[in-house]
Amino acid sequence: MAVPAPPRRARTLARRLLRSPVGMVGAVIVAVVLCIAVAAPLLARHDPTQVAFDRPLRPPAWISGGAWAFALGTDSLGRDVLSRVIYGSRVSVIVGVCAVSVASMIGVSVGLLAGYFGGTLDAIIGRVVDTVLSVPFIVLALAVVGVLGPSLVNLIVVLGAVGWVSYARVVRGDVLSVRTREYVQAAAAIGQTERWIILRHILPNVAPSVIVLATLDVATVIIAESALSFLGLGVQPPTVTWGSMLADGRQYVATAWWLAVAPGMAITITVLGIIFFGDWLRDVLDPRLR
Amino acid sequence: MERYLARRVLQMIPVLMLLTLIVFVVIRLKGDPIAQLAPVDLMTPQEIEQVRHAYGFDRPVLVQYVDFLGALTRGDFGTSFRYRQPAMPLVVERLPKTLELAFVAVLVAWVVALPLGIITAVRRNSLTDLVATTASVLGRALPSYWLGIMLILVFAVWLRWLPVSGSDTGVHLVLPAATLGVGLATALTRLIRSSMLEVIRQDYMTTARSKGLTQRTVLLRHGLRNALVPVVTLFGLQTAWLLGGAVIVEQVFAWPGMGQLMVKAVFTRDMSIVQAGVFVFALIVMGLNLAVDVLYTVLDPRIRYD
Repeated sequence: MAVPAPPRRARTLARRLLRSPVGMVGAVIVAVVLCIAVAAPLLARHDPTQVAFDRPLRPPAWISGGAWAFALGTDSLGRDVLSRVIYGSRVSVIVGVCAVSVASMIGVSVGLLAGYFGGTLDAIIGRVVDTVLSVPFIVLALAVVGVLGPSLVNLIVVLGAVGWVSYARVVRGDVLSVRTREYVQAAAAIGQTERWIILRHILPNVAPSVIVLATLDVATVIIAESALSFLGLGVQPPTVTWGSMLADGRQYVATAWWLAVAPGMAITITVLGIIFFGDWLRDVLDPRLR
Repeated sequence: MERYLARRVLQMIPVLMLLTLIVFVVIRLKGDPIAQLAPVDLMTPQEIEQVRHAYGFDRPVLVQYVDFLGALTRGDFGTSFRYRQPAMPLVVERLPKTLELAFVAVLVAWVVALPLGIITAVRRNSLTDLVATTASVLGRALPSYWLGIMLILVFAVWLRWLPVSGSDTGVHLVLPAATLGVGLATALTRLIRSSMLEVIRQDYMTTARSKGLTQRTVLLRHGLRNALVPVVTLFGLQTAWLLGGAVIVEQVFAWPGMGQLMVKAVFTRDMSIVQAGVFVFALIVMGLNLAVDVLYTVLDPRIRYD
């Protein structure tokens, strides 16, 4: 229940973004990827799952043998690579946004509780955080996906359930410093409920670091999602994902390099955009995190 | 020091206990754990019932957990039905390969990052600084599995200098270690650069220079040694990341380590191996973090743990 930013503040932010070239590039990349994901059916010239055995492994258009109808070439089953890259953005965007929402909601709640109430609860949560951090993220995700089975929803749940710890840590630290401030003490002194104090006085103060963390975390989640897809444990075919395209590309790396280059570029550019935007956001909202 | 070490090892116990609970719950997320531990689709109902009884899954959950803990303390992490062998020795057998990969990657990262970090800090805003800083931003965004495939494309397919995959000779280690090392090197360069920038401004650096020491001595003896303390801390936090990266890189290069074994096990629903692997990874991460803490006392003798 963060306080909505007053319009003036939003306008100041937009003006500051215009003055930062790197932040601007990041924002544009993120916006373009979002548009591509939403408008995929309008942008793609072909059905991304349409198999055509008469045109397997065609090279990109600028290489002899290529054609502009299949600008980035075709894969081993004759499917249009560009259309697949366009549709692949959807899974990355959906998983990125949803998993980060799940992770931040769990993490922020846990962090608020641990930081505000302290004591045994804080100690227990601290141990849980240590435990989750002691196992490599991808290994834990691998184990849970192994049990639940790979699907879009399971992927979001897993990445959210493993990813909350960083939010819990940051929020707990912030709460510890905020709760000693005068206005929080004052709110307690005039008899406001703990629930009111946490939601009205503490949450708005930890919001900037959470927003920054969540933005950069989308990049982490997109990389993790495509890694799991690359391992064959992501969203299953016929849904197109950048990670599964890369796994295909790995097999044809000696004969059809474009199969691996295209999805990899898509992931890298998307992640780069998020990092540029996130770093800018951090400098503006929360310079302490540098 | 001994007391500190003893305390740290004791602190690992609650974390390991929690991990057993997490693994115990995860295996049961889908209800009957038998489906995770045995090839149920190939078995008759009687056989399934037998196995269920043998594992004790027909008993109360609390009893099952106590049994599970008992088995773990005996080093029994279950039996892999695919290999028909205890799971833990299978995982441990693959461990050296993963550690070899991770170790060489860390070596590559330090060899690249140490000079780059120092040079970019000393020659701030130079061309080298610009190139290295750009590279480190790119390194943050490059997924390791893609970098690995691109290195295969360039060095194995186009230039034919190195093998695509395998693990027979040292040559086979070059590409996987480089893939894993580059990601680490970019993060490390950034850390060393910012830490050096911080240290260069300190008074003792000016003092050292005014004593007439050479630039080299000042930077390495007085600068680097102090700059490394925060770097080592943050680097310690990267061990989990490093091992996670190894799991993926092993897959790209068909490197026969623990990660490859675990990924295969997930596909064949051979969860005994997965649970053994999770514990081994956790133990390595905790062990390395402890090693990093001990390393502080070497880097900064002022830090004492008593």
